[in-house]
Amino acid sequence: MISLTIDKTTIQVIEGTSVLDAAKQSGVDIPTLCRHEDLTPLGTCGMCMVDIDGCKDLQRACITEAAEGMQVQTNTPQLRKLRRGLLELVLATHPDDCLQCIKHGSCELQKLADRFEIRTLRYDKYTRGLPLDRTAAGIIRDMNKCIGCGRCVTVCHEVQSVKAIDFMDRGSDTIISPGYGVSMGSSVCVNCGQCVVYCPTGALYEKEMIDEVWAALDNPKKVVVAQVAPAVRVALGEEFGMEPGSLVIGKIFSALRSLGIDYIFDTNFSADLTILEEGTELLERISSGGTLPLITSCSPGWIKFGETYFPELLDHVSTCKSPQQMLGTIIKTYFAETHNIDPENIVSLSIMPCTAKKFEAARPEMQDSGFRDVDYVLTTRELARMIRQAGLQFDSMKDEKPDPVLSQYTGAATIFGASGGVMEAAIRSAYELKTQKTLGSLDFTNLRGIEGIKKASVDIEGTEIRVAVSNGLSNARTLLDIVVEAKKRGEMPFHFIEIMACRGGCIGGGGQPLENTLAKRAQRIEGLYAEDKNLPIRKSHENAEVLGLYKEFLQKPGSEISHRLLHTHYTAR
Amino acid sequence: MNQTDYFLKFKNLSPDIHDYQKANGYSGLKNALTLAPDLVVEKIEKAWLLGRGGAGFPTAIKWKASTGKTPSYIVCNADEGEPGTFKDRFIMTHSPHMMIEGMIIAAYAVKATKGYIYIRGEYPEIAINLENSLLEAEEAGFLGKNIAEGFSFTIDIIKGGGSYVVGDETALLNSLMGNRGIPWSKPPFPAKKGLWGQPTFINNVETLACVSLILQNGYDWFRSIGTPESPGPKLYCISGKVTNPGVYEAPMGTTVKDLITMAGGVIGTLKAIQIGGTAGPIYTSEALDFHLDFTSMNSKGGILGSGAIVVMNTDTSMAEVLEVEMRFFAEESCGKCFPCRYGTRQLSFMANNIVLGKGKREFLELMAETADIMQGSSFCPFGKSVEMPVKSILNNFSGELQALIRQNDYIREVQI
Amino acid sequence: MGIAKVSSKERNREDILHLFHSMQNREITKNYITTNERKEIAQTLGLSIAEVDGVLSFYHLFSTSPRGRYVLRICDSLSCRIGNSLEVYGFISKELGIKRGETTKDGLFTLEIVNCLGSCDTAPNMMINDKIYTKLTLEEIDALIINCRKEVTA
Repeated sequence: MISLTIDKTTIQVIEGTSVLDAAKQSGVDIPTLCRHEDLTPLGTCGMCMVDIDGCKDLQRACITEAAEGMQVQTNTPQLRKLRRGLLELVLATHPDDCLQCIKHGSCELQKLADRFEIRTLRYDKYTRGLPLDRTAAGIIRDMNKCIGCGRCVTVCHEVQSVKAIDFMDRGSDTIISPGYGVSMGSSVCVNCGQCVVYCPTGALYEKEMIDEVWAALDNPKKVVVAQVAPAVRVALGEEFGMEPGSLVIGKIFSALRSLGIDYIFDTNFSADLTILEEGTELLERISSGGTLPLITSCSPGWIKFGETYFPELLDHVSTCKSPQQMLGTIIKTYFAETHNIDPENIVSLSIMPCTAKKFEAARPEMQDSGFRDVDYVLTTRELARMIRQAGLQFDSMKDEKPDPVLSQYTGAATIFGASGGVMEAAIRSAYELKTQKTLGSLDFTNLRGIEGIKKASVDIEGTEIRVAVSNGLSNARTLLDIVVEAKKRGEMPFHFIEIMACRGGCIGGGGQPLENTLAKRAQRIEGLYAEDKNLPIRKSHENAEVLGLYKEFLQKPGSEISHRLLHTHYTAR
Repeated sequence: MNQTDYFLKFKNLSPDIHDYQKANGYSGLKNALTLAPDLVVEKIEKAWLLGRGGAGFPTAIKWKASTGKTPSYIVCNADEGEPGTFKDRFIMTHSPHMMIEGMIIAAYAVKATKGYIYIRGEYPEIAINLENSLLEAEEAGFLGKNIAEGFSFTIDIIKGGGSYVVGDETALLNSLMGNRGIPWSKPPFPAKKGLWGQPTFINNVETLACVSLILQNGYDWFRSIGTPESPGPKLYCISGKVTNPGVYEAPMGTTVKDLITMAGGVIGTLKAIQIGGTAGPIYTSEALDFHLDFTSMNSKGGILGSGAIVVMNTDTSMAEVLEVEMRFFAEESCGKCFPCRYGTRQLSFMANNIVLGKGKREFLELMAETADIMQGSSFCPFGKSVEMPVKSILNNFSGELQALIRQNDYIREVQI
Repeated sequence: MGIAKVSSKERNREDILHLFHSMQNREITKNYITTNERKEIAQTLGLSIAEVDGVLSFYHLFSTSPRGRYVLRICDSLSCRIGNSLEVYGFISKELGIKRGETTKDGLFTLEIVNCLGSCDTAPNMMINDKIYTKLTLEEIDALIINCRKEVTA
């Protein structure tokens, strides 16, 4: 421990603590703009400058390490003048349309301008007049509002290793872009939306489909059918003042009904369905010497990443569609048939934590039903907006149930939203299906949590099945590099790998309530496992509705009809 | 007047290795190789060689940080970009081997395994000639494997892409590694963690040339020239309104007045002198008595910098000088940090508007304040230094700027 | 040794500057780097196109869009401005009918303003492609332009 003085307070901190964090511990909130607790600090903005005794120049608190005996001043007249001056400089290049901006009320630049009372701008205003880039499926880029903090580049390079964007040009011409003459839609961007998560202003945001959904709801000819993802039920409450991890699924169903959705189903149903299909696929590959490791396929950000950077591993990826897409197909085939609805009139809607799901729903091949399997994807944030627009008091709504037939789910399904959840769900079923024995404990705790790469091995009747789980695409890359190298040596370090594009899993998706920090993701994860623990049925193969669907329609996992409707293929990019 | 010609004599010789060796070249390297590397560092310390790139940092202190960890690198900073500076061009054109010999001695002293000459992209012909010089040195056994027992060293040339800020140490290293030329935060210093996380020692062309001279002629010789705090001969670059602009060699501490005399005197009537490059203050004729060495210039609140002196006479408009220099900062800013990225642009806008007759009364105070913001919060010395030209012009020549601003309204109102 | 060569067996990001220079100067008068070349560099070095463009666009000597056979780079830093750079710019701009950053319609000349070329004692200075021309007079500039035109028709 080292001790230092921040203004008038002397405190003790562990070695390696930044002056910024030390100040926070001592009760002083030094202003920051470019820094985020989850990301490597770049030191671009200069808002956190502090005056350290003995240093000729002011120092950036975010990248300066606390040292024994340091005397730091955080609130001198020079520093106050400096902070206001910096904000004036930034605001001089920033559009003035706060009232029309999607980040109005949650913009970090706005908050600082208010905190430091920037009431006049002495500099001449200049804006770049750049066109918006709406070419990506899930993300819109408005570089006029970009302040060049660099968080999105840090995320895209360090956390996700997609490297779709970078800084271009220099000086005040600096702009972040996918390349010269490259649009976001034609770049390697996987639509994971993590850049949106960390953007402090309205420069990056989700591509909304709210208007289209209102139009469908208002159209008497259309039958709107919705599904809700696992990760949404422990996060939507945050938009209405509730704690991260609060299970609000009952209220979600109630809200959807109030909005006018005709039939409400649960993506957790098709998560159980996915386990049956994928579990069968895994067991088959293991017993018949098929391509291993098998890699999960429910994360569309991962799928595009794999198609771009690991095309040689595409035949390892499970042919199973994601739960979203499986349910969309079932809705427009089985459900439409059994309920005498013309699938032409069905609007298949999904509520997702994820911006990449918008890309997935629009993939050309996702029309096995004969129609777009999923028509619209609304992120958690978009649903929150619709709820507010409809005047619903979400936090005081009564719990309701979804519509039967495609909504029953087990604990195994709900943990799909957490990193390691798909793997754990798969093991629960694969073990029992293979051995016909009951598992002693259903809790594989070493697969849980926010850790980036997790490994485990499970004994299934004397065979050691080695599994690995990764969340965040940089971690996926690390894991897959190991697989590629091992393949060259003829080795197979794992039988089964779960990959989720976002840190922590889907609960950290690009469409989740902001702020979407790692700390909040950890809380949401706990919410899902808590729900799992409390559910009466916790194994996918015991889901009666799913078994009923097989009996009445799909016959059995891996059947011809299952393959036609519930499986897909991939394309190297 | 005292002029030396340890560098300048090479103007009359060819740059090839034979002429260089005839003039005692590579005897420095031979001397160095008879000593333990630490003793070579000691000689540089006793000579008290200060870096000639602009910062004036004691070279031996930089080298002493070497721990012998491998691989480690010597980088020659040949990205001469400071306006008013052209001495490294001179050395690389007329006596490239002086620099190369110094680089090899440096590598030996710090136990570096690989060298890079990072030369600005605007010197392509010099780069080609340097390649030949390196081949000559290799043929003579001064580069390559086993230059001496346990000492092998090769040098690659990297050509820059046109950026001033990559003259800054860490920005240069980033550029060399293939990244955007933006600086990174120190500590850790490059001597500890530089290229690819390895120890890296960066020295300016003229500094390395001095290393050769010191090992050739001894540290006592070096200290006998110049001042006690800033010893040695110095290449000064004088340009602007003097009769004979050019590179002049004189002992450190030579006065501005003497230097101008060497350059044939001022054309017309002296108005202003900028010392140290675009990042240095612009003085009135008061600077004539200044001594051009690191300590004296620092004590005047200025810098010696690269030793660039630009002379302006009464034909020069200071509003124009401000506009030129603010545009330089705006175009060369790397764009990493907010204060410099936005500050340089606003300063350039204001300076342009003053010249265009659209200046506002508030500009002068606002420019000074912007310079303060940049001094306080810029990430690297580039942004911090803008206050020197800005404030010196505002302090010494504000009348001229104010006149342009005041006249806007007046002329509009009273014109016939 | 010598001018950094591209290592073939490993993907070395530090080769990027050399690749930019050699691609841009594949023919001495090409003066820009094509989209395919940028993709080639990305593949050679194992970088994304955003990374390649990010480095490329940082430097003012390189261009991603076509430029003239002859890139005229007029220095307009302090010593050259004192040494009449504005007159040089004005003359060339009028003569060729283009402004800063533009290329003549016949694709012969691109006019650029650059910062200090490191030859301040010989102001005003200008580079044409890789050569520097110093102590320029308007007559000399005229002759240089005529020469360039002659080289093309030859």
